[in-house]
Amino acid sequence: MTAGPDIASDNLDLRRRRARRTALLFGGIAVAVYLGFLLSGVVGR
Amino acid sequence: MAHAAVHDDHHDAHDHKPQGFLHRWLFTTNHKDIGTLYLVFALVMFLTGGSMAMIIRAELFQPGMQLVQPEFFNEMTTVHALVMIFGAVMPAFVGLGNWMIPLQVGAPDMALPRMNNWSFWILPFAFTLLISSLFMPGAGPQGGWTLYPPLSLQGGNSVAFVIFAIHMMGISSIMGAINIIATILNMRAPGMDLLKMPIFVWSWLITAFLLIAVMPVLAGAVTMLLTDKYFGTSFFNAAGGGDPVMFQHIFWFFGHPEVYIMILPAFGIASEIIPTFSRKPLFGYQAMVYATAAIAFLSFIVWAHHMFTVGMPLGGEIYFMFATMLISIPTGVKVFNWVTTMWRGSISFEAPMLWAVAFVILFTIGGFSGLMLAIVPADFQYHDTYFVVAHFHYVLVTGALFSIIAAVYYWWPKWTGRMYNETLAKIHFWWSVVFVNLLFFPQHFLGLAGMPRRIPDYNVVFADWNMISSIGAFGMFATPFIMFFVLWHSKKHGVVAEARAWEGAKGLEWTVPSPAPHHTFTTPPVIGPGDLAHGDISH
Repeated sequence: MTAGPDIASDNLDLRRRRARRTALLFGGIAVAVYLGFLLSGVVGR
Repeated sequence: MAHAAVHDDHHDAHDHKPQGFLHRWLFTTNHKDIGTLYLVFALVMFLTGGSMAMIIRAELFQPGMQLVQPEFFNEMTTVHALVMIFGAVMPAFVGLGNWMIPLQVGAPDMALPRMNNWSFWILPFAFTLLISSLFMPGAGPQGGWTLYPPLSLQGGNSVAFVIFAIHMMGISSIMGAINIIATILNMRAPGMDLLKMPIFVWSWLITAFLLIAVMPVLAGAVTMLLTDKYFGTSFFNAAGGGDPVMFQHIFWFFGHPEVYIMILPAFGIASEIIPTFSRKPLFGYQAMVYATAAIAFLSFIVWAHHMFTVGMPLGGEIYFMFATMLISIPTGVKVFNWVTTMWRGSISFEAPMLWAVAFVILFTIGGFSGLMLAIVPADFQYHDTYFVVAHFHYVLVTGALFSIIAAVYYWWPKWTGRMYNETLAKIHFWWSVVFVNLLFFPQHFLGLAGMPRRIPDYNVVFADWNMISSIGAFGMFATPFIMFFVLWHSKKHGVVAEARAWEGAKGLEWTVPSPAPHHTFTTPPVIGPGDLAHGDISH
């Protein structure tokens, strides 16, 4: 396994921007699991 | 002591701590301060949950009703579990992660510092809400931490407050997990490949994925409970066409990974400490990483072993039995690797090593009793007995809690710049080991003899072992106060710690001064050969 391109960069702002994107992605996944789960209980009936 | 990695000491010498108590602690975005807040909060919750455990054990000291009403006893078992799981163990690991992950990957802070502040400050409100439910009309939650309907819905309105508190804890955990993933994936120092990361960082990365996958499931399940109680839905109400057993499936789809959320960081801590005090590299670093990932994966496909007795098709029981047994393989890899790391090492037994070795031995006892519980016909006998209570307390107390204490002793010199007194720390260790086994080991016998869990009274045949268990509990309750004394003594009289406080310690956290300055790695460290705990080992 190798590191991503971010490892080569020591630009903190760039890394923080990428971190925000990562956070939004995983936050979206968490919300999708929650809502999808509730909807599956409702739609399935 | 020479610093292994080039570090910008000049820059970090300017500490720039915020002035004023409120400004420093309420508005902080510093990962070390937030880590400290999490750890202090966890400590308060350990004492709160521990006090509830004392009430439980005092009531069970003798057969017959001694001190409290049965309803209050049920409240204590329910809230003790919720406080210890969500308020003590999880926040303690998040605190350790906050403190150590940026230091171990060479990052200046967590990736999202303001969200980090939010993640923490939600928690005190969530637990105030949870504990306040004990004082509400109609009493607090009494249905156990599993909140199984219909029992959990038969209480008063406190259930709504408990569900809201669980939602808040979940939001806090998810935000914390997102922050940890974003930090590890994006903020590592140049040159630190994923497979050069400290094993504690790896264990937290995998734990954070677990949290994001299962906390929304718990949130969904308790939301359905809420709508069943207040909005006329029938998700789990058989009279309305729902299925209460479905709640159990959903709960344990969250609940089993939750167990690993509380133990994977402990594996990471043991994997940091054992190599340091064995003065050897960790044996099988890559195998440890893959074993952690395998355990996390398996945690999603074994949930129904918690509910064999509810009634399910034989094929389902056989599948969940064998799938559960599979977990012993990656777990066995870990235990083997810890033992092999120690093998022919130049071992010394300072307090962190003692706690880590005790963790390996006693957690393995909890693992073995887990294997016994995985066997379907045996589980039909053990289910809902004190054998289960003994099993999960060996996993969570001598597993998770012991690793947290090991981590505090291990990183204390880095946090405070002071060494602790070894003799006092060893008194703390041996006192804890004796009383924790006195507390929980007899519960195996009680369970095998048929004593059910969650009851305030019992048959006289169980009297002797219950008395011994309660004596163990009273002794165990003294241990946090012994630890306070050890840490207070260290702050007052401790020898000044070097940057690399332990002779065999490797990793970036040991390249910064002790105590770690308020800001570290403001310029990324340049990692040289031999600087990393694992990076200089050919895989």
